[in-house]
Amino acid sequence: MASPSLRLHAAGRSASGRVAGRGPSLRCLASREDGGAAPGPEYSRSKPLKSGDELDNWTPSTPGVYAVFNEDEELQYVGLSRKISSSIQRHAETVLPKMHSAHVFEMPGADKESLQSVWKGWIEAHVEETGNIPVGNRRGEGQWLLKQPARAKDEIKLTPGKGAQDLAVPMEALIDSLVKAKKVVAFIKGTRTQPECGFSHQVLLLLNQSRVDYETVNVLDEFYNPGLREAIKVYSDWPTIPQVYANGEFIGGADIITEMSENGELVGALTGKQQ
Amino acid sequence: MAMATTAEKGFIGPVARNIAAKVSQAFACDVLEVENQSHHHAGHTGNPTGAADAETHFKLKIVSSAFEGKKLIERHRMVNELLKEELDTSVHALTMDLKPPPKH
Repeated sequence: MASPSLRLHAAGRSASGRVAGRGPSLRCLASREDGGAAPGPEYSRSKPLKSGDELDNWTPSTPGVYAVFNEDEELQYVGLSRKISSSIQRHAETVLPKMHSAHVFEMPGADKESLQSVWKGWIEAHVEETGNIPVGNRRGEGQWLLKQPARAKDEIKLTPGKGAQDLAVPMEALIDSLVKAKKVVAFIKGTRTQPECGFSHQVLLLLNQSRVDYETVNVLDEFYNPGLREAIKVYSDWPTIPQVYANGEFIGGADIITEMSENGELVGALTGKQQ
Repeated sequence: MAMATTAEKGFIGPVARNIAAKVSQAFACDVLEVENQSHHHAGHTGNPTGAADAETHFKLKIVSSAFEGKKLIERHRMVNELLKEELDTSVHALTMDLKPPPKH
């Protein structure tokens, strides 16, 4: 099933005073690329290659180019996307009232250049027709901009990964230089995107919430961090993981980070500034 | 001094009883609660089998004047030190809520 969240928004919209019975108003006029080598279609609002009212079909999850129109059939925005469905859904979170119908051109497996070339063609066609760039694509028009989600920072690896037998420097020395070199370091089980323990997960959530920049090290990664899981416990004389360090000092584990967060002391402790 | 409030939650086996005994011996507790949370972690690291009588994950709540004037990290270290043997062996995770008695 596609786009449950858009349906939710659409339902909410009709509940807030719209004519009952009209239902979700974003209808799809989808066109599909035949073959794959074929160049992008001419931009056209009058002759969609395929149209349908089925909501499940209106947001394909392929890469492609899409054009969104308002209720008066005025082009609002032309976008390109790696996954059209999620882009449309994210637009709907902010500008649903301006979204009435969409031309969608699916381009499965398309590279960035092909997407850009179709996108450019559509924009140019609109400029030719109306003398204007679509309103949502104009410079300084932020409403339609979809920010790329920030890529999660990679975890720090303490060795090049040759294994414990090649470790020239003791693990504790590596820990020591790392926590002194970086402002905030969290030693966790797993990674930022895939924590492998509820307590590590909790600490990551709270660190993200604090908006303080931090590094992570995966204590379960025996290839790159051999022996770290035990060495970190000796280093801090603390029996459990996760462990958070700030400015070279051990701050605490999950309980302490949680309590500090609740007391409003966490940011101060992480940045080293007294509050 | 008033009697300490003690409470036990979840399956209480020898490990939990031992923790409670050690804590009450070491600190004068106004409140001492031992909660076995192992069932929340069934199938996870530390409690892979999810056995009903697992004693791997605990929550410990202590209110004691022993924590008066101590920073959070110092309170935790006091209990970690006391339960070092358990933490080194059978206990996989210990959540702690450690406070001095409220001031009036």
